[in-house]
Amino acid sequence: MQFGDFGLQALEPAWITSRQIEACRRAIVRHVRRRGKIWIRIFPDKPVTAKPAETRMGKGKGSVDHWVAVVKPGRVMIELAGVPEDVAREALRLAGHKLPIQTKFIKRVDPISGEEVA
Amino acid sequence: MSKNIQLEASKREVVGKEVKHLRRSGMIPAVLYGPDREPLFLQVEERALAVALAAAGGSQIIDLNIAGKAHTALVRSVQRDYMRGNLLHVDFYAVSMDRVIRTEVPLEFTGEAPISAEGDLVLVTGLNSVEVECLPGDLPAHIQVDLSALDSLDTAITVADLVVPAGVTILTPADDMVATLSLPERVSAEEEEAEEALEEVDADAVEVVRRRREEEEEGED
Repeated sequence: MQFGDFGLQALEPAWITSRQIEACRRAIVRHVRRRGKIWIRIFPDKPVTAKPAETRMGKGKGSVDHWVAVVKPGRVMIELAGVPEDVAREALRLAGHKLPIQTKFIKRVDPISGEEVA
Repeated sequence: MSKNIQLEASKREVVGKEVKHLRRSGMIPAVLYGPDREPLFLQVEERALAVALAAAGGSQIIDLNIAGKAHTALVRSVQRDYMRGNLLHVDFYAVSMDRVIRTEVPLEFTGEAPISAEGDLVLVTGLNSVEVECLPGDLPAHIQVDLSALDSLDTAITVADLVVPAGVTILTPADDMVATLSLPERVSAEEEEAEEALEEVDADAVEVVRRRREEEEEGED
């Protein structure tokens, strides 16, 4: 946790597509409305190619189909601040359902004592 | 009698991957190092260590009692399991009371920004701790940040605005932002309209494609 008070942590490895990230962002913004501030800590900078449907093999590599962010377990993908814990918990639960992996709601802790700071 | 936090530790023979057996038996591997001394491998009872870490944080001196001898030390680094938060390893930094040290001191936010009550502004903190240089005896447990100085959206509290006790020097760059107020995430008008349109859709009014095909097939017969 770098910026916010609450976060959504990945528990599995995955390629998260730009569409999934945008769906998460919309789910959170829709739930928290005008309150709170969101940090999206992953960016889809890896291009993924695909061949068109019903195409025979060969004839070279397919064109770029979409972009993904490579996420490994433990990565804090989204951070949230400026909202009460119950609102943040629900917003990040909704966002977690837009992702293809198991996620965990986390709170900011002191790195030495391990006690909650938020 | 010393008012420092006391912690019992013992020398550790087990190193490398074998320390996982130590952890299973309730002991946490640790190391004590510092200037002009050889590193010392230690093991500490997990429960006592957790209590000491909660009390000391990274800016309070701990008296490490190793085989009857006391060593003054600061907690320099703590490794935790990212899933469960369990303690994995702790670094202690041996300090000499007459030698200047550099360490991180946490910031404590007090008060309330007068402007935040007027609207839906969000407090954004840039730093949670600052690096300081001082004698171990002068080390503050935390540095207070008074948020009442945030009286407009353009103002920010920087490291230069922090007040520290005598004998303590802040090493973090003076222009680093500590706290400011920010506007919350805005929903654009287009997004809002799209969401409202989405909410207005009646599920029963949506035509099921499969039913229409069946009707067409019936018509052909």
